[in-house]
Amino acid sequence: MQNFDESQALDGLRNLDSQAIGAVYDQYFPAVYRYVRYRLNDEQLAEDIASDVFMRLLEALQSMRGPQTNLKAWLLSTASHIVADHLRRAYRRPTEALSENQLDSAPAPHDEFDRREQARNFRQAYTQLTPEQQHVLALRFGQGFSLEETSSVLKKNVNAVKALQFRALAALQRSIGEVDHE
Amino acid sequence: MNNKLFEALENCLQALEQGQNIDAVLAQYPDLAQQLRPMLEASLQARTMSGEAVPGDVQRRARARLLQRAAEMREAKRAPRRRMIPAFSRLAITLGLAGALFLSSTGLVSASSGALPGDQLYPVKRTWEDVRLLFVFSPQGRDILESQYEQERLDEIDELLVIRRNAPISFSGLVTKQQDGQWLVSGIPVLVTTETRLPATAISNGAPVTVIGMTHADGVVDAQEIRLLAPGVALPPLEPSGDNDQNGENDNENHNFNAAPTPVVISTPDTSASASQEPQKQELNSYEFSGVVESMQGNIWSINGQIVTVDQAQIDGAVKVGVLVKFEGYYDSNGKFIVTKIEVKSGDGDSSKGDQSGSGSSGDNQNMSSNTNDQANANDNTNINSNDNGNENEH
Repeated sequence: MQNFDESQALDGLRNLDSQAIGAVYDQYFPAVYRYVRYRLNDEQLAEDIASDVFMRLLEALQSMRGPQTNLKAWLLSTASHIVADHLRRAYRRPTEALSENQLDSAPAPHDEFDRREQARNFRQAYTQLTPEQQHVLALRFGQGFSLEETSSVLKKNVNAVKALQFRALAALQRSIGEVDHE
Repeated sequence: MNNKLFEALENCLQALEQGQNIDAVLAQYPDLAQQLRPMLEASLQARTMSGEAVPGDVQRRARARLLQRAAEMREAKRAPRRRMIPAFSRLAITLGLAGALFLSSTGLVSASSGALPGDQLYPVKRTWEDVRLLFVFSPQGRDILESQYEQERLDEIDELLVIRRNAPISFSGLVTKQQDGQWLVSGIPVLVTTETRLPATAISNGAPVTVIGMTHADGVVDAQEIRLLAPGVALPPLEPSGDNDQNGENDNENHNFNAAPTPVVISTPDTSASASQEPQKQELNSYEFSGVVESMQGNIWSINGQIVTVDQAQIDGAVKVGVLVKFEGYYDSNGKFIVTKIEVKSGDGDSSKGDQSGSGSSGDNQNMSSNTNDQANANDNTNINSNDNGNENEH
């Protein structure tokens, strides 16, 4: 969207202006949805949680809380918290949630088989990471954020993000290795 | 060493993102290549999982849900804050006068506290109310203050009727009786004529309305317009508190036609809250009502047409539909009435004991408290609510 004025949009949201709400939604919903889907690999949950993020934004602004600037960072950070809550509630049930039908909803052609197998292993490995490691990978590789953008959402300095992503990737490749051997 | 690794990884990631392959990238870090390779391979996998575009139906559904929620929030915001619109239109006067009053220290505000519509100081009084509202930041506190002001409007009109002065007024309340063009709105007698502008929707007993009109020397309000308010708005279904009645007589005796029935009661400032200790909470007055329980659905009950929430209530006695109860509570920021305490006054489910206004009852059986308040027997046709304010409900 061109000429998206975040400050003006925030004012509109505070006034519950439909046009501003629509503009903010159009601008950021895809990113929030993709983020949650990346984290949970569940389309229905992604839809519900991404919607919830925007509801919370409205409520926060109505009660004089909510972001003053950097709306996208606030939305992704809120999404991350909701996902973390969800994962806490679903603790020890994640492997069932990663059922094959989520990844294999369409019949797999032969040349797709390896790719799907790899994707399934990746998913399984990804869920073994800590929420913070999942978060940083979702931002850097799911959203394609730069180091600086990631540090803004995580509210950490750049060096801390470098260390975190290093540990996250190290844990991920270890975990993929373990899954491959199963 | 670690920092060097972190830095090398970041540089490799950036190079991969720019389209270089892993071997070319690692060639720049031969001593770290063994460590970095599996991580870079993992990062490539992580990138391929970034997913596709948001399905159109998902986007439409979520958008509709959000806009619906926004509409609900707008509605909720509008209903209990109906006074805020005129408040804005008076903002300039409000601020100007407030400044002048603070600077001049004339005591004008104090002098205006007893002003009635038509008095010269009345605009000062209303302006000061707006100023106070501007400085109450808690939604709950604001709702309660607004409810107090609505109560004040009822009291002013009550006094105007007593002194038989003609003055333009407007107030909000619950319709408790409609008979031959003579209505009772929160204890105020209102004359509804063919010239009165009414909403297209029929107004039933128990409905919250705003009445705009003139007080008449005959002791009634001559309604020019009656507007229907949204159900559940934060207005006090109260009668005039009777504070203006110097000699303690029943004000309704001065009204032109048989007043009465609001089974309900009174604004009772919550004296338990220490104003000095908790300045914010000094506004959090509670209200006390009595009435007949009409329905009980989970934590949402209907008592004399008033929808209340009882999940925080301390319940004294066995409550069932039809019993007469006394209950206390407050209006929350959404305009809901939150009950804090309920006491059963009569265990009988006989609806004849209560005013069924708003519930579809056809009778004028408004002697709800007559069976329970022995002390009211001294007054032939009037039985007095158990509050100290002298409010009375007639038979």
